[in-house]
Amino acid sequence: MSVSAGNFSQFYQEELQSILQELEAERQQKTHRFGQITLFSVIGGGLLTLFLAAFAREAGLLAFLPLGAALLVIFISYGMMASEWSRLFKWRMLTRLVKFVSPELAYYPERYISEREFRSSLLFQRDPDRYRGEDLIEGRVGQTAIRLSEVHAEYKMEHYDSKGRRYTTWHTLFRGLFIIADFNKHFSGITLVLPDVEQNLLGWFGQVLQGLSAKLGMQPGELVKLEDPEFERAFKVYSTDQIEARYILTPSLMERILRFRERTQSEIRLAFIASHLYVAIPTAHDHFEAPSLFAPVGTLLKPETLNKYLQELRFALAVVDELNLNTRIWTKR
Amino acid sequence: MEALIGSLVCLGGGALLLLILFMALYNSLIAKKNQVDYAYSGIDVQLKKRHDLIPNLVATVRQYMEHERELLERITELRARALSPNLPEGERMQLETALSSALRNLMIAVENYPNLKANENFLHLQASLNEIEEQLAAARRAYNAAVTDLNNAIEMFPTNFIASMMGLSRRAVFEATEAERATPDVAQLFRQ
Repeated sequence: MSVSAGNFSQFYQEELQSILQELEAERQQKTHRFGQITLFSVIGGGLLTLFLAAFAREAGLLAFLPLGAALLVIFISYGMMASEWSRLFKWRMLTRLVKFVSPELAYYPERYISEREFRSSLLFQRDPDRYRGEDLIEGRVGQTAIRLSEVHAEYKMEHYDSKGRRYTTWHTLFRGLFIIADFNKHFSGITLVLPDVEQNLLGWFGQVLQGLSAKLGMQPGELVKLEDPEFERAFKVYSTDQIEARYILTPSLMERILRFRERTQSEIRLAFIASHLYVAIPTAHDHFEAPSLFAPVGTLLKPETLNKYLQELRFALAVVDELNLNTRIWTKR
Repeated sequence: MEALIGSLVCLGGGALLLLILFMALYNSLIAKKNQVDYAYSGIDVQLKKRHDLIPNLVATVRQYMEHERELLERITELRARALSPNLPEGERMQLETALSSALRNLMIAVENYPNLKANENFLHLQASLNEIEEQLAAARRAYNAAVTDLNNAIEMFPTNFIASMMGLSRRAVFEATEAERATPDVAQLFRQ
């Protein structure tokens, strides 16, 4: 992945600029059309309401119906236009940006990491009840095959209020980037690296509880105690094989994971299953989103706009370099 | 009469509880001891694999590396000595450590032979050796973790009483040798 500022500005001038201009024109056309729809609906609905109020007294509150309908039309047309715009921007612009970052990568705005794959990572103790995603990027970075997308997984909880009526609340299980990459070593078991809450809270006794939760079958395998104290403070590790866990988590990889966690500034989770690496990075903001339909004129043509996408892409793909996945000096090629 | 039965039940219950506690601690100590043995055998497996690899490696390398005869002979000799039966455990591990550092020197010396680095067979052997060394390091670390766990149980209350009854004693962890800890000074190795 070699993206230098020099060849980006060349690429920008040769390819992107004209597309951005087209997109900007379409965006303005859309906002213009939306303005017209809004104007006509408000005038039409307002006039009808006034007319009913003036001449059909018996209509009462029903007189406001046309105005309500007008608002609904505005609302729906906004939703349709915004999603159409987002699709347009993603297909025309982001697909090209991804190809520029690496010709071996492809971008699919509407696809995402499947729920089955999400579950098979074993990173979350609960199964999601509602699962959505978007922005799948798939391909290779160097020798490493990688797939990643945004994912939003939720679970529901049923409650009863004081009158015995049932109601449901939804809670986020995970929201952020979910990455599946080919790992650079062969292994057959399961090793999970999860954020350590208990030991930070309860110290020695927390570790006893963690060991117990593996014995009770709440986590696969057994607790692995590693020698890096900083890593032990940040994470708890479970594995089906004590030696294999250390074969994967070498002192240098532990360092790299710690640094990666620092840079992402979030409670990352990693799973190593059957020669694959699963990484879940919770993020507060939505990645790869199109600029707003109503952003000021010319926003698209500003260099910051595209830079933001490039940065997000690099952030998502950095896992390969930061965890050194392209080092293939062992028997796995 | 009732009071007597009551206190007997209490006593019996207490004794049962103590027995269960004793059993749990005893079993946890046994599990820890077995974990150490298991991890030790993990090291042995990798050492055996390395012994199997060495003759092949030496044979492949020999045709190219004319100036490293001495090093190759040393590797062959160390392997033969490590394989000899009835060797005390400590001495065997010393030989393996010497073998590790000799193999490391060999892999650095390889850099001087571009023809060798183009040999497909050699590249395959090199990857296998890297793999074994990586697995070996993992097995050593697993062993050290298991030993630390056992040593903690032997010294900590209340398992220390049971451990001394069982005659368990502290075990030693593997220490990284000076050569392993230091980053190899490549320039110096070339001058040798």
